[in-house]
Amino acid sequence: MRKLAPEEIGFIDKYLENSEVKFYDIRLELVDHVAKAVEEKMDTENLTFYDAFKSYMIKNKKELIKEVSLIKKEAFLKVLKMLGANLFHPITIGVSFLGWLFTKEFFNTIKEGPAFFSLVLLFLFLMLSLVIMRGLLSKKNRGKQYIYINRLVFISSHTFQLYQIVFLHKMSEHYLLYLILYVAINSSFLISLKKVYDNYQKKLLLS
Amino acid sequence: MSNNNLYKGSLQTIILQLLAKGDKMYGYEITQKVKELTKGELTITEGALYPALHKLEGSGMLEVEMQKVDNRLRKYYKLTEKGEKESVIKVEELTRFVETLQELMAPKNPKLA
Repeated sequence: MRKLAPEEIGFIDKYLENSEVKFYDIRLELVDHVAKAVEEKMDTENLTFYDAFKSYMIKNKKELIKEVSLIKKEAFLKVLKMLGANLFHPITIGVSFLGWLFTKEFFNTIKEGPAFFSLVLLFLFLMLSLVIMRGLLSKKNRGKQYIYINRLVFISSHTFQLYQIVFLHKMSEHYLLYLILYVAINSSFLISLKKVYDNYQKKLLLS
Repeated sequence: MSNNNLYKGSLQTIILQLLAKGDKMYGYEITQKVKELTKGELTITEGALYPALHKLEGSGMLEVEMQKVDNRLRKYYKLTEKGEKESVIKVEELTRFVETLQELMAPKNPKLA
């Protein structure tokens, strides 16, 4: 059987990337699938690479796109469950307790009030997440998108926006409760991020 | 998957059973094996196969191994211990289901049915 050249594999990869298969971890499996199907087509139907590729894509592109959306839904639910479970992780409980102690001790000394304090926490959290994510992703992997990391960031950023809308204006009444909840959510996010990263590394998708 | 939705609910069982019989398999290989075993009667599409594989992997029934083959990375799936146990249970469930269905469609004693 004819084997595809690296440029032909690269062509398939680029085509899929431009066709809504932007997540590297999903794409690499599809590249292999499409490449294998194209190789067989070239052999059995005596076609050139481009003709075999075109013929395969006309028939199967819709299914490939459908696959991505189904895996996205699956990843979303999995990440949501993971975030929920990690709210009760010993580290989350410990960090939340420390946050409670810290807030109880120092909150009253901050003149600017709870909204300012929340923004400071947000800034610190964003910096910490950025440092952790940059640390986790090596230079080689930084440009690539991974579905579980993407879903995790998507859920976390939306949770934070919701948190701001729903709770921030009420913070002056129950500031301690809201801030601890905020610390717990962020801690759960960082623990989940580490787990997702470890899982990718175990599968050798991250180097 | 062709052949309407009749096979849809059995896809995970089919995958587990294929992997239980063999060693490790990759996505395209699974589609071709199913096609070969069913003499083309059943075709698993990419849109059905990979979400099912990801679901089985996520629930700890499959584990993944990456290998570089022919200038590209290939993702192999194999059963975990949990997957092996689940495969036996699922095949038993499916066999019972098929028997029940057969009884409904073509009862052995039509007068009692």
